[in-house]
Amino acid sequence: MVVQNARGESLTLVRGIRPRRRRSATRVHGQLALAITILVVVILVTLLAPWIAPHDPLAADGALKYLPVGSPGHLLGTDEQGRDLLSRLLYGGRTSLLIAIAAVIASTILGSVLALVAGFSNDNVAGVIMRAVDILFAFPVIIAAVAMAAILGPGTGVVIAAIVFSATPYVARIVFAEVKLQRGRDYVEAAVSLGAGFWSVLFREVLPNVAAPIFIYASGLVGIMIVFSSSLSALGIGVQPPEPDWGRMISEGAKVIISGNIVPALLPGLVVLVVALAFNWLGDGLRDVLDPHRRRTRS
Amino acid sequence: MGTLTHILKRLVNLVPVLLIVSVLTFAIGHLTQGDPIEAQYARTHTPEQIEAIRAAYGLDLPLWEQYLRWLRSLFVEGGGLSIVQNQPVFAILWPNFVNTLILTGAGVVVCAVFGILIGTLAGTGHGRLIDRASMFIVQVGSNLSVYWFGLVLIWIFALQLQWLPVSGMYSRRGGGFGDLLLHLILPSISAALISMLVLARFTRIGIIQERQSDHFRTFRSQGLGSVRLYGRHVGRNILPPVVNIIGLEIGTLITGVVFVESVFNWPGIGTQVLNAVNGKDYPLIQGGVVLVALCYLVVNLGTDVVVDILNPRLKRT
Repeated sequence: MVVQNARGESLTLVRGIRPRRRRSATRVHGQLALAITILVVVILVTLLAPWIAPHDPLAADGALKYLPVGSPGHLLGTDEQGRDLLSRLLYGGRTSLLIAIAAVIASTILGSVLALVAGFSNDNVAGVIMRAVDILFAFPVIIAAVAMAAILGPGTGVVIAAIVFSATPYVARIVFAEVKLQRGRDYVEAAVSLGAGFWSVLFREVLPNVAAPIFIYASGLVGIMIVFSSSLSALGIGVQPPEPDWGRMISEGAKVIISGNIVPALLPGLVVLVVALAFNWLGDGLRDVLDPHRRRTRS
Repeated sequence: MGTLTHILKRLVNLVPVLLIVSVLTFAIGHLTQGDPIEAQYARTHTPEQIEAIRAAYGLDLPLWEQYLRWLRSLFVEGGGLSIVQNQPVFAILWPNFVNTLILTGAGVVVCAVFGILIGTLAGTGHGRLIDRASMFIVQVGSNLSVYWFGLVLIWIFALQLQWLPVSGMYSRRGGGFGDLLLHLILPSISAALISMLVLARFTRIGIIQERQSDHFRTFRSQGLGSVRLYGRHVGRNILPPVVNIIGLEIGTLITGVVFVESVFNWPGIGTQVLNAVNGKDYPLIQGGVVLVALCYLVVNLGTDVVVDILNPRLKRT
């Protein structure tokens, strides 16, 4: 996703411009369908974890250490404490997905409100808001996360705060660019001349017209943030033990990797990858379906 | 506007950013939960002694005075005393900072070389198999967790194949420059992963757009060879945006470096600051945050200047 900031420089949030591909309608829907299938399955199995998980994710058993993938009763094997990896993955997904989705929703709302207000205010207010957004960019994300960890103490709150802190400016910029395009459109003028107030114009008239790009961007963002939050938890400043979480599982697997067993670290990382890719495809697919104009002008 | 005035203007623009960064960093110390002085001395000292220690750190003064004292300490006292290690913060951080710079520098090299290489391969082979394959790698790679990617690299190249060292910066027996290089390979590739792929995407798009341009078609039709065409004309036109992206991506790279330091036990500033977070040693955290934020701003400024110099068209406006 490429963004232009107030100074007209191109900025990018992890993924760059989409590759140019001529997609037929069926291929687009194929990708979207695959993404939705993966996400529905993942969300369902994590939601149903208490009922479908074969074991307690925290139950350690020294006798069952490092069971390989495919062991009877432990489909994906066990970790260094003999805990069932499949159960941990299922329960861990609840934490990981919840954090990423909640934090992206929060930053999307915050960023959109900032951008809507900035887009329809006078130049001074807009300048202050967008300048503040610029300053947020001056902080490398990881530094913000470390600062949050110092203030809040390591934990789930740090991950959410860090995601909101780092994602809000990107959302604000993207939405600001969209909102500016709506300024002076006929429907806006019409609403104003009918006596609609500032907030009413913003949220009743403009917001529905920029909702599609916001939604598209947010769905791609969830994927990036699942990866990011898993890395923060792996660093030890995110989700704390014994609560299972994909990032936490990776760092616990890291401790035993030297003994040659990569499975406990490998599995959660692969799951994170697949889920992140699915959110990525969801964003792309939605753009193709909801915003066909953009697809044609994309280079 | 000359390049010099442009740089000066940029420097002036930095002032409010620096001010806000410093206030935020200062706030870390005061928003931290729990009292680090208590935690450190409660068992061994009486309440009166703890008050005295607090006064020695200046914690009994009004906030604005503490802020000014802290700012001053950044310049003259090496960032103040670390609570846990009882030494000037910058004296503790300096060796780690150098190690981090080495790793970041190596990351930038990997990012530039492989990013441009992948982007060029994909862009010049636009629409062909190599383009599709590169873009698939880019898409999958962009969704990898840096931390996890580092682990997988260790497992493959250090544990299974045993080609490269597992972690650390030098071998236990000590070693020279070659040893350092060997230890740098895996960490720098992991740290550069995301920024490298972003760069590859931009390089590819740049080349594809150049290939559609009129001057490209003209040169092609006149029989100009590929090497000269790409090296001299395409390369020159996409250089400013490429440099710009590399500069902007250094922020991503720094984030990657902190993760990578943790995976590879690299004795860098990230490891040190993360330990400080766990020990609630906030002068050390503040020092680390200021150092990294400063570097980031300097890099952004430097990128702007280099892009200015590379792009003569900007000068005329």
